[in-house]
Amino acid sequence: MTMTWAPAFLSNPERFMAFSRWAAPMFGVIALALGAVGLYLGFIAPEDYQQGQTVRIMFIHVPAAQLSMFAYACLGVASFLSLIFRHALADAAAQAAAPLGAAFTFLALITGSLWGRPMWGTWWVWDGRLTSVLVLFLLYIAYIALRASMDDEAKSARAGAILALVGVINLPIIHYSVEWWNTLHQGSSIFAEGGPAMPPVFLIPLLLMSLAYMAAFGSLWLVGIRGEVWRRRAESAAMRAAGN
Amino acid sequence: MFDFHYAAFIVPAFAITLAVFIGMIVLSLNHARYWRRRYEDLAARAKPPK
Amino acid sequence: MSPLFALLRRETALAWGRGGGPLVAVGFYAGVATLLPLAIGPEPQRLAAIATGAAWVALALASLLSLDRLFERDFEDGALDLLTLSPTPLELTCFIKCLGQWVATGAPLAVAAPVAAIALGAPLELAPLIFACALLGGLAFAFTGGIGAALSLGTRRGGLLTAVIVLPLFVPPVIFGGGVLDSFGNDLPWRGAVALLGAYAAMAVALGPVAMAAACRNALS
Repeated sequence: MTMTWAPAFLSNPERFMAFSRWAAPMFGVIALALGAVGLYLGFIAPEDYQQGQTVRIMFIHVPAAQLSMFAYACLGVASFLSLIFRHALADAAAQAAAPLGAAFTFLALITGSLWGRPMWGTWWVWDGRLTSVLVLFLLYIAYIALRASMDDEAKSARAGAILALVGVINLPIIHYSVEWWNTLHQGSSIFAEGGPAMPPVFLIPLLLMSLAYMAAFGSLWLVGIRGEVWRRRAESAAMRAAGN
Repeated sequence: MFDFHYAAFIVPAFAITLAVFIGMIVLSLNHARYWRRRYEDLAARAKPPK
Repeated sequence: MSPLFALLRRETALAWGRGGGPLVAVGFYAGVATLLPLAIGPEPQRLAAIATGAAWVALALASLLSLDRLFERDFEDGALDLLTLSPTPLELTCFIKCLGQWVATGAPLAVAAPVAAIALGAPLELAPLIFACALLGGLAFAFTGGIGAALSLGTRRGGLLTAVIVLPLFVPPVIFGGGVLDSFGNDLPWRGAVALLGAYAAMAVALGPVAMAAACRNALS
Protein backbone atom coordinates (compact mmCIF):
# COMPACT_ATOMS: atom_id res chain seq x y z
CA MET A 1 0.00 0.00 0.00
CA THR A 2 1.36 3.38 -0.88
CA MET A 3 1.80 5.87 1.88
CA THR A 4 -0.50 8.86 1.52
CA TRP A 5 -0.34 12.05 3.50
CA ALA A 6 -3.53 11.83 5.54
CA PRO A 7 -5.20 15.19 4.69
CA ALA A 8 -4.31 14.69 1.01
CA PHE A 9 -5.87 11.25 1.12
CA LEU A 10 -8.97 12.63 2.83
CA SER A 11 -9.27 15.81 0.77
CA ASN A 12 -11.29 13.95 -1.84
CA PRO A 13 -14.89 14.16 -0.56
CA GLU A 14 -15.86 10.77 -2.01
CA ARG A 15 -12.91 9.09 -0.37
CA PHE A 16 -13.58 10.93 2.87
CA MET A 17 -17.21 9.77 2.92
CA ALA A 18 -16.16 6.18 2.22
CA PHE A 19 -13.51 6.33 4.95
CA SER A 20 -15.64 8.06 7.60
CA ARG A 21 -18.53 5.68 6.97
CA TRP A 22 -16.72 2.91 8.82
CA ALA A 23 -14.18 5.01 10.76
CA ALA A 24 -16.82 7.01 12.69
CA PRO A 25 -18.59 3.97 14.22
CA MET A 26 -15.23 2.29 14.78
CA PHE A 27 -13.92 5.23 16.81
CA GLY A 28 -17.22 5.26 18.69
CA VAL A 29 -16.84 1.60 19.67
CA ILE A 30 -13.22 2.17 20.71
CA ALA A 31 -14.33 5.13 22.84
CA LEU A 32 -17.03 3.09 24.54
CA ALA A 33 -14.69 0.17 25.26
CA LEU A 34 -11.85 2.34 26.58
CA GLY A 35 -14.27 4.48 28.56
CA ALA A 36 -15.91 1.44 30.18
CA VAL A 37 -12.56 -0.03 31.27
CA GLY A 38 -11.23 3.37 32.32
CA LEU A 39 -14.28 4.19 34.43
CA TYR A 40 -14.26 0.74 36.01
CA LEU A 41 -10.58 1.04 36.97
CA GLY A 42 -11.18 4.61 38.06
CA PHE A 43 -13.93 3.62 40.44
CA ILE A 44 -12.23 0.59 42.01
CA ALA A 45 -9.02 2.60 42.57
CA PRO A 46 -8.35 3.50 46.20
CA GLU A 47 -9.08 7.06 47.25
CA ASP A 48 -6.31 9.60 46.94
CA TYR A 49 -4.59 10.55 50.20
CA GLN A 50 -5.09 14.26 49.42
CA GLN A 51 -8.12 14.45 47.17
CA GLY A 52 -10.07 11.60 48.76
CA GLN A 53 -12.97 10.37 46.68
CA THR A 54 -13.02 13.50 44.52
CA VAL A 55 -10.08 12.08 42.59
CA ARG A 56 -12.77 10.29 40.53
CA ILE A 57 -13.71 13.64 38.99
CA MET A 58 -10.16 13.90 37.65
CA PHE A 59 -10.83 10.98 35.33
CA ILE A 60 -13.44 13.00 33.44
CA HIS A 61 -12.00 16.48 34.09
CA VAL A 62 -8.44 16.09 32.80
CA PRO A 63 -9.45 14.48 29.47
CA ALA A 64 -12.07 17.20 28.91
CA ALA A 65 -9.44 19.88 29.51
CA GLN A 66 -7.03 18.15 27.11
CA LEU A 67 -9.73 17.86 24.46
CA SER A 68 -10.71 21.52 24.84
CA MET A 69 -7.25 22.48 23.62
CA PHE A 70 -6.86 19.61 21.15
CA ALA A 71 -10.14 20.56 19.45
CA TYR A 72 -8.95 24.16 19.08
CA ALA A 73 -5.74 22.90 17.51
CA CYS A 74 -7.88 20.87 15.08
CA LEU A 75 -9.99 23.96 14.39
CA GLY A 76 -6.81 25.95 13.73
CA VAL A 77 -5.29 23.38 11.35
CA ALA A 78 -8.56 22.90 9.46
CA SER A 79 -9.00 26.69 9.20
CA PHE A 80 -5.47 27.09 7.91
CA LEU A 81 -6.03 24.44 5.22
CA SER A 82 -9.38 25.97 4.31
CA LEU A 83 -7.89 29.46 4.05
CA ILE A 84 -4.84 28.43 1.99
CA PHE A 85 -6.40 25.81 -0.30
CA ARG A 86 -10.00 27.07 -0.18
CA HIS A 87 -11.00 23.50 0.40
CA ALA A 88 -14.66 22.91 1.30
CA LEU A 89 -13.92 19.75 3.26
CA ALA A 90 -11.35 21.53 5.43
CA ASP A 91 -13.96 24.16 6.19
CA ALA A 92 -16.53 21.48 7.02
CA ALA A 93 -13.96 20.04 9.43
CA ALA A 94 -13.43 23.45 11.06
CA GLN A 95 -17.14 24.09 11.37
CA ALA A 96 -17.76 20.65 12.88
CA ALA A 97 -14.87 20.94 15.37
CA ALA A 98 -16.04 24.19 16.99
CA PRO A 99 -19.23 23.06 18.79
CA LEU A 100 -17.51 19.88 19.98
CA GLY A 101 -14.59 21.87 21.31
CA ALA A 102 -16.97 24.27 23.05
CA ALA A 103 -18.78 21.30 24.65
CA PHE A 104 -15.53 19.79 25.94
CA THR A 105 -14.41 23.19 27.26
CA PHE A 106 -17.74 23.55 29.02
CA LEU A 107 -17.28 20.10 30.56
CA ALA A 108 -13.76 20.97 31.70
CA LEU A 109 -15.06 24.13 33.41
CA ILE A 110 -18.04 22.42 35.07
CA THR A 111 -16.22 19.32 36.31
CA GLY A 112 -13.32 21.48 37.48
CA SER A 113 -15.75 23.62 39.42
CA LEU A 114 -17.40 20.57 41.00
CA TRP A 115 -13.96 19.30 41.98
CA GLY A 116 -12.87 22.66 43.32
CA ARG A 117 -15.82 23.17 45.66
CA PRO A 118 -14.93 20.32 48.08
CA MET A 119 -11.17 20.67 47.53
CA TRP A 120 -10.62 24.42 47.68
CA GLY A 121 -13.92 25.33 49.32
CA THR A 122 -14.92 27.49 46.37
CA TRP A 123 -16.58 26.94 43.01
CA TRP A 124 -14.11 29.06 41.14
CA VAL A 125 -10.69 30.54 41.69
CA TRP A 126 -9.15 33.05 39.35
CA ASP A 127 -6.18 30.85 38.78
CA GLY A 128 -4.09 31.15 35.63
CA ARG A 129 -5.08 27.84 34.15
CA LEU A 130 -8.78 28.15 34.90
CA THR A 131 -8.94 31.63 33.47
CA SER A 132 -7.19 30.53 30.28
CA VAL A 133 -9.77 27.79 29.78
CA LEU A 134 -12.56 30.31 30.33
CA VAL A 135 -11.10 32.61 27.66
CA LEU A 136 -10.79 29.59 25.36
CA PHE A 137 -14.51 29.00 25.85
CA LEU A 138 -15.19 32.62 24.89
CA LEU A 139 -13.10 32.16 21.73
CA TYR A 140 -15.20 29.14 20.75
CA ILE A 141 -18.38 31.16 21.36
CA ALA A 142 -17.05 33.98 19.18
CA TYR A 143 -16.24 31.55 16.35
CA ILE A 144 -19.64 29.87 16.50
CA ALA A 145 -21.44 33.22 16.70
CA LEU A 146 -19.54 34.56 13.68
CA ARG A 147 -20.29 31.45 11.61
CA ALA A 148 -23.95 31.55 12.61
CA SER A 149 -24.45 35.16 11.55
CA MET A 150 -23.21 34.85 7.96
CA ASP A 151 -25.42 33.37 5.27
CA ASP A 152 -22.95 33.09 2.42
CA GLU A 153 -21.12 29.77 2.82
CA ALA A 154 -17.82 30.81 1.22
CA LYS A 155 -17.67 34.14 3.09
CA SER A 156 -18.55 32.50 6.37
CA ALA A 157 -15.80 29.93 5.80
CA ARG A 158 -13.11 32.53 5.19
CA ALA A 159 -14.19 34.88 7.98
CA GLY A 160 -14.33 31.95 10.40
CA ALA A 161 -10.89 30.76 9.31
CA ILE A 162 -9.40 34.24 9.83
CA LEU A 163 -10.90 34.42 13.32
CA ALA A 164 -9.70 30.91 14.21
CA LEU A 165 -6.15 31.77 13.15
CA VAL A 166 -6.24 35.08 15.06
CA GLY A 167 -7.30 32.95 18.04
CA VAL A 168 -4.45 30.48 17.48
CA ILE A 169 -1.93 33.35 17.52
CA ASN A 170 -3.55 34.91 20.57
CA LEU A 171 -4.04 31.81 22.72
CA PRO A 172 -0.39 31.48 23.83
CA ILE A 173 -0.29 35.22 24.55
CA ILE A 174 -3.52 35.02 26.52
CA HIS A 175 -2.18 32.04 28.45
CA TYR A 176 1.08 33.83 29.18
CA SER A 177 -0.66 37.06 30.20
CA VAL A 178 -2.99 35.24 32.56
CA GLU A 179 -0.09 33.35 34.15
CA TRP A 180 1.77 36.63 34.54
CA TRP A 181 -1.30 38.24 36.08
CA ASN A 182 -1.54 35.36 38.53
CA THR A 183 2.02 35.80 39.80
CA LEU A 184 1.46 39.55 40.03
CA HIS A 185 -1.36 39.06 42.49
CA GLN A 186 0.55 36.41 44.43
CA GLY A 187 -2.22 33.93 43.86
CA SER A 188 -0.72 30.77 45.25
CA SER A 189 -0.64 28.36 42.36
CA ILE A 190 -2.94 25.51 43.17
CA PHE A 191 -1.13 23.22 40.80
CA ALA A 192 2.17 22.07 42.28
CA GLU A 193 4.92 22.53 39.69
CA GLY A 194 6.11 19.10 38.69
CA GLY A 195 4.16 17.66 41.60
CA PRO A 196 4.54 14.14 42.87
CA ALA A 197 4.36 11.57 40.10
CA MET A 198 0.91 10.07 39.81
CA PRO A 199 0.81 6.44 40.96
CA PRO A 200 -0.11 3.92 38.23
CA VAL A 201 -3.36 3.07 39.97
CA PHE A 202 -4.61 6.55 38.95
CA LEU A 203 -2.44 7.06 35.88
CA ILE A 204 -3.75 4.02 33.97
CA PRO A 205 -7.46 4.86 34.24
CA LEU A 206 -6.63 8.51 33.44
CA LEU A 207 -4.72 7.47 30.34
CA LEU A 208 -7.56 5.18 29.25
CA MET A 209 -10.09 7.96 29.74
CA SER A 210 -7.93 10.39 27.76
CA LEU A 211 -7.78 7.94 24.87
CA ALA A 212 -11.52 7.29 25.18
CA TYR A 213 -12.25 11.03 24.98
CA MET A 214 -9.91 11.35 22.01
CA ALA A 215 -11.67 8.51 20.20
CA ALA A 216 -15.09 9.96 21.08
CA PHE A 217 -14.03 13.32 19.67
CA GLY A 218 -12.74 11.59 16.52
CA SER A 219 -16.00 9.77 16.04
CA LEU A 220 -18.21 12.80 16.68
CA TRP A 221 -16.01 14.99 14.53
CA LEU A 222 -16.29 12.59 11.58
CA VAL A 223 -20.07 12.44 12.02
CA GLY A 224 -20.16 16.24 12.17
CA ILE A 225 -18.09 16.58 8.99
CA ARG A 226 -20.33 14.04 7.22
CA GLY A 227 -23.34 16.11 8.23
CA GLU A 228 -21.69 19.27 6.91
CA VAL A 229 -20.83 17.57 3.60
CA TRP A 230 -24.43 16.48 3.17
CA ARG A 231 -25.72 19.90 4.15
CA ARG A 232 -23.57 21.55 1.48
CA ARG A 233 -24.61 18.98 -1.12
CA ALA A 234 -28.26 19.45 -0.20
CA GLU A 235 -27.95 23.22 -0.39
CA SER A 236 -26.28 23.16 -3.79
CA ALA A 237 -28.88 20.65 -5.00
CA ALA A 238 -31.63 23.00 -3.77
CA MET A 239 -29.88 25.85 -5.56
CA ARG A 240 -29.81 23.87 -8.82
CA ALA A 241 -33.46 22.87 -8.39
CA ALA A 242 -34.39 26.53 -7.92
CA GLY A 243 -32.37 27.49 -10.97
CA ASN A 244 -34.14 25.02 -13.28
CA MET B 1 -13.19 1.79 45.87
CA PHE B 2 -15.86 4.43 45.55
CA ASP B 3 -17.77 4.78 48.83
CA PHE B 4 -20.11 7.69 48.01
CA HIS B 5 -18.06 10.20 49.96
CA TYR B 6 -18.46 13.59 48.30
CA ALA B 7 -21.18 12.04 46.13
CA ALA B 8 -22.88 15.45 46.09
CA PHE B 9 -20.06 16.68 43.82
CA ILE B 10 -19.00 13.50 42.08
CA VAL B 11 -22.46 12.41 40.95
CA PRO B 12 -23.35 15.77 39.32
CA ALA B 13 -19.95 15.89 37.61
CA PHE B 14 -20.54 12.49 36.01
CA ALA B 15 -24.22 13.21 35.32
CA ILE B 16 -23.44 16.49 33.52
CA THR B 17 -20.65 14.82 31.54
CA LEU B 18 -23.01 12.03 30.53
CA ALA B 19 -25.71 14.53 29.56
CA VAL B 20 -23.31 16.57 27.43
CA PHE B 21 -22.02 13.44 25.71
CA ILE B 22 -25.55 12.26 24.97
CA GLY B 23 -26.35 15.73 23.68
CA MET B 24 -23.30 15.75 21.40
CA ILE B 25 -24.09 12.28 20.05
CA VAL B 26 -27.78 12.97 19.43
CA LEU B 27 -27.20 16.38 17.85
CA SER B 28 -24.37 15.16 15.61
CA LEU B 29 -26.28 12.12 14.40
CA ASN B 30 -29.51 14.07 13.90
CA HIS B 31 -27.73 16.80 11.97
CA ALA B 32 -26.05 14.24 9.71
CA ARG B 33 -29.23 12.21 9.22
CA TYR B 34 -31.40 15.25 8.54
CA TRP B 35 -29.13 16.64 5.83
CA ARG B 36 -28.47 13.24 4.32
CA ARG B 37 -32.21 12.67 3.90
CA ARG B 38 -32.70 16.18 2.58
CA TYR B 39 -29.92 15.70 0.05
CA GLU B 40 -31.27 12.33 -1.07
CA ASP B 41 -34.78 13.79 -1.46
CA LEU B 42 -33.50 16.63 -3.59
CA ALA B 43 -31.30 14.34 -5.67
CA ALA B 44 -34.22 11.95 -6.26
CA ARG B 45 -36.45 14.82 -7.34
CA ALA B 46 -33.79 16.17 -9.70
CA LYS B 47 -33.52 12.78 -11.44
CA PRO B 48 -37.05 11.35 -11.69
CA PRO B 49 -37.05 7.54 -12.13
CA LYS B 50 -37.42 6.53 -15.76
CA MET C 1 -0.28 66.19 0.43
CA SER C 2 0.50 62.50 0.31
CA PRO C 3 -2.45 60.17 -0.22
CA LEU C 4 -1.82 58.37 3.08
CA PHE C 5 -1.99 61.59 5.02
CA ALA C 6 -5.17 62.52 3.17
CA LEU C 7 -6.64 59.16 4.11
CA LEU C 8 -5.67 59.63 7.75
CA ARG C 9 -7.29 63.07 7.74
CA ARG C 10 -10.43 61.63 6.20
CA GLU C 11 -10.64 58.78 8.72
CA THR C 12 -10.00 61.01 11.69
CA ALA C 13 -12.50 63.56 10.47
CA LEU C 14 -15.13 60.89 9.92
CA ALA C 15 -14.56 59.28 13.30
CA TRP C 16 -14.47 62.67 14.95
CA GLY C 17 -17.24 64.43 13.15
CA ARG C 18 -20.03 61.96 12.49
CA GLY C 19 -22.50 60.91 15.12
CA GLY C 20 -21.07 62.77 18.06
CA GLY C 21 -17.56 61.37 17.61
CA PRO C 22 -15.47 61.30 20.77
CA LEU C 23 -18.34 62.74 22.79
CA VAL C 24 -20.20 59.43 22.62
CA ALA C 25 -17.22 57.35 23.73
CA VAL C 26 -16.31 59.74 26.53
CA GLY C 27 -19.95 60.04 27.56
CA PHE C 28 -20.25 56.28 27.75
CA TYR C 29 -17.04 56.13 29.72
CA ALA C 30 -18.32 58.73 32.20
CA GLY C 31 -21.60 56.84 32.49
CA VAL C 32 -19.91 53.55 33.37
CA ALA C 33 -17.61 55.31 35.84
CA THR C 34 -20.69 56.84 37.47
CA LEU C 35 -22.57 53.56 37.71
CA LEU C 36 -19.69 51.75 39.40
CA PRO C 37 -19.77 53.54 42.76
CA LEU C 38 -23.56 53.37 42.67
CA ALA C 39 -23.37 49.59 42.45
CA ILE C 40 -20.41 49.08 44.78
CA GLY C 41 -21.12 51.68 47.46
CA PRO C 42 -19.58 55.06 48.17
CA GLU C 43 -17.05 54.02 50.86
CA PRO C 44 -13.76 55.66 49.75
CA GLN C 45 -11.55 52.73 50.78
CA ARG C 46 -13.54 50.20 48.89
CA LEU C 47 -13.70 52.41 45.80
CA ALA C 48 -10.00 53.32 45.95
CA ALA C 49 -9.08 49.64 45.95
CA ILE C 50 -10.79 49.10 42.61
CA ALA C 51 -10.41 52.60 41.13
CA THR C 52 -7.64 51.95 38.60
CA GLY C 53 -8.96 48.52 37.63
CA ALA C 54 -12.47 49.82 37.13
CA ALA C 55 -11.24 52.79 35.11
CA TRP C 56 -9.22 50.41 32.94
CA VAL C 57 -12.09 47.97 32.27
CA ALA C 58 -14.43 50.86 31.48
CA LEU C 59 -11.82 52.11 29.01
CA ALA C 60 -11.73 48.73 27.25
CA LEU C 61 -15.53 48.75 26.99
CA ALA C 62 -15.67 52.35 25.80
CA SER C 63 -13.14 51.66 23.05
CA LEU C 64 -15.49 48.95 21.74
CA LEU C 65 -18.20 51.51 21.12
CA SER C 66 -17.42 53.14 17.81
CA LEU C 67 -15.70 50.06 16.37
CA ASP C 68 -18.73 48.78 14.51
CA ARG C 69 -18.77 51.92 12.35
CA LEU C 70 -15.06 51.65 11.55
CA PHE C 71 -15.57 49.62 8.35
CA GLU C 72 -19.34 49.34 8.18
CA ARG C 73 -19.92 52.91 6.98
CA ASP C 74 -17.47 52.52 4.11
CA PHE C 75 -18.74 49.04 3.38
CA GLU C 76 -22.31 50.26 3.02
CA ASP C 77 -21.67 53.31 0.84
CA GLY C 78 -19.14 51.55 -1.40
CA ALA C 79 -16.11 53.59 -0.27
CA LEU C 80 -14.43 50.37 0.84
CA ASP C 81 -14.62 49.08 -2.74
CA LEU C 82 -12.84 52.21 -3.94
CA LEU C 83 -10.22 51.91 -1.20
CA THR C 84 -9.58 48.32 -2.28
CA LEU C 85 -9.07 49.40 -5.88
CA SER C 86 -6.63 52.19 -5.00
CA PRO C 87 -2.88 51.59 -5.45
CA THR C 88 -2.43 51.76 -1.68
CA PRO C 89 -2.40 48.20 -0.30
CA LEU C 90 -5.52 47.43 1.69
CA GLU C 91 -3.38 46.47 4.69
CA LEU C 92 -1.99 50.00 4.82
CA THR C 93 -5.49 51.45 4.42
CA CYS C 94 -6.70 49.37 7.37
CA PHE C 95 -3.70 50.53 9.38
CA ILE C 96 -4.57 54.15 8.65
CA LYS C 97 -8.23 53.58 9.50
CA CYS C 98 -7.34 52.16 12.90
CA LEU C 99 -4.88 54.96 13.47
CA GLY C 100 -7.67 57.46 12.73
CA GLN C 101 -9.91 55.60 15.16
CA TRP C 102 -7.20 55.84 17.79
CA VAL C 103 -6.69 59.57 17.25
CA ALA C 104 -10.41 60.32 17.29
CA THR C 105 -11.59 58.11 20.18
CA GLY C 106 -8.51 56.54 21.83
CA ALA C 107 -6.89 59.88 22.60
CA PRO C 108 -9.99 61.58 24.09
CA LEU C 109 -10.59 58.47 26.20
CA ALA C 110 -6.97 58.58 27.37
CA VAL C 111 -7.59 62.13 28.57
CA ALA C 112 -10.76 61.05 30.36
CA ALA C 113 -9.20 57.96 31.96
CA PRO C 114 -7.12 59.67 34.69
CA VAL C 115 -10.07 61.93 35.53
CA ALA C 116 -12.34 58.93 36.01
CA ALA C 117 -9.74 57.01 38.02
CA ILE C 118 -9.08 59.95 40.33
CA ALA C 119 -12.79 60.57 40.78
CA LEU C 120 -13.07 56.95 41.87
CA GLY C 121 -10.28 57.49 44.41
CA ALA C 122 -6.99 56.71 42.67
CA PRO C 123 -4.02 58.79 43.91
CA LEU C 124 -3.16 61.89 41.89
CA GLU C 125 0.45 60.73 41.21
CA LEU C 126 -0.98 57.96 39.09
CA ALA C 127 -2.54 60.36 36.56
CA PRO C 128 0.38 60.62 34.08
CA LEU C 129 0.87 56.87 34.08
CA ILE C 130 -2.84 56.22 33.56
CA PHE C 131 -2.80 58.64 30.64
CA ALA C 132 0.24 56.96 29.09
CA CYS C 133 -1.17 53.47 29.59
CA ALA C 134 -4.54 54.46 28.18
CA LEU C 135 -2.81 55.89 25.12
CA LEU C 136 -0.75 52.74 24.60
CA GLY C 137 -3.60 50.41 25.49
CA GLY C 138 -5.90 52.38 23.18
CA LEU C 139 -3.57 51.49 20.33
CA ALA C 140 -3.93 47.78 21.19
CA PHE C 141 -7.70 48.15 21.60
CA ALA C 142 -8.10 49.95 18.26
CA PHE C 143 -6.01 47.48 16.26
CA THR C 144 -7.40 44.26 17.77
CA GLY C 145 -10.87 45.78 17.72
CA GLY C 146 -10.50 46.52 14.03
CA ILE C 147 -10.16 42.77 13.38
CA GLY C 148 -13.53 42.14 15.01
CA ALA C 149 -15.09 45.06 13.14
CA ALA C 150 -13.80 43.82 9.78
CA LEU C 151 -14.86 40.22 10.45
CA SER C 152 -18.42 41.17 11.32
CA LEU C 153 -18.89 43.13 8.07
CA GLY C 154 -22.04 42.00 6.30
CA THR C 155 -23.26 39.86 9.19
CA ARG C 156 -26.71 40.00 10.66
CA ARG C 157 -25.72 41.46 14.02
CA GLY C 158 -22.64 43.60 13.50
CA GLY C 159 -22.12 45.54 16.72
CA LEU C 160 -22.81 42.82 19.25
CA LEU C 161 -20.84 40.27 17.25
CA THR C 162 -17.85 42.62 17.15
CA ALA C 163 -17.91 42.76 20.96
CA VAL C 164 -18.14 38.96 21.31
CA ILE C 165 -15.19 38.51 18.93
CA VAL C 166 -13.05 41.24 20.40
CA LEU C 167 -13.51 40.87 24.16
CA PRO C 168 -11.44 37.65 24.51
CA LEU C 169 -8.70 39.33 22.48
CA PHE C 170 -8.73 42.24 24.93
CA VAL C 171 -7.60 39.93 27.75
CA PRO C 172 -3.83 40.55 27.40
CA PRO C 173 -3.96 44.36 27.13
CA VAL C 174 -6.46 44.56 30.00
CA ILE C 175 -4.17 42.40 32.15
CA PHE C 176 -0.95 44.23 31.25
CA GLY C 177 -2.46 47.70 31.62
CA GLY C 178 -4.14 46.83 34.88
CA GLY C 179 -0.86 45.27 36.00
CA VAL C 180 1.11 48.46 35.33
CA LEU C 181 -1.26 50.58 37.40
CA ASP C 182 -1.54 47.99 40.17
CA SER C 183 2.24 47.53 40.43
CA PHE C 184 2.89 51.27 40.42
CA GLY C 185 0.28 51.83 43.11
CA ASN C 186 1.87 49.14 45.30
CA ASP C 187 5.48 50.30 44.74
CA LEU C 188 6.31 47.21 42.75
CA PRO C 189 8.44 47.19 39.57
CA TRP C 190 6.07 48.35 36.82
CA ARG C 191 8.30 48.99 33.82
CA GLY C 192 8.18 45.36 32.72
CA ALA C 193 4.42 45.51 32.49
CA VAL C 194 4.62 48.69 30.37
CA ALA C 195 6.99 46.81 28.06
CA LEU C 196 4.51 43.91 27.81
CA LEU C 197 1.64 46.29 27.06
CA GLY C 198 3.79 47.99 24.43
CA ALA C 199 4.75 44.62 22.94
CA TYR C 200 1.11 43.58 22.63
CA ALA C 201 0.21 46.93 21.10
CA ALA C 202 3.11 46.62 18.64
CA MET C 203 2.00 43.13 17.65
CA ALA C 204 -1.58 44.28 17.19
CA VAL C 205 -0.41 47.19 15.03
CA ALA C 206 1.78 44.88 12.94
CA LEU C 207 -0.52 41.89 12.47
CA GLY C 208 -3.99 43.37 12.93
CA PRO C 209 -4.11 45.15 9.53
CA VAL C 210 -3.23 41.88 7.74
CA ALA C 211 -6.23 40.13 9.30
CA MET C 212 -8.45 43.19 8.73
CA ALA C 213 -7.50 43.42 5.05
CA ALA C 214 -8.17 39.70 4.57
CA ALA C 215 -11.56 40.06 6.28
CA CYS C 216 -12.47 43.15 4.20
CA ARG C 217 -11.55 41.42 0.92
CA ASN C 218 -13.66 38.46 1.99
CA ALA C 219 -16.64 40.66 2.82
CA LEU C 220 -16.40 42.46 -0.52
CA SER C 221 -15.89 39.34 -2.66
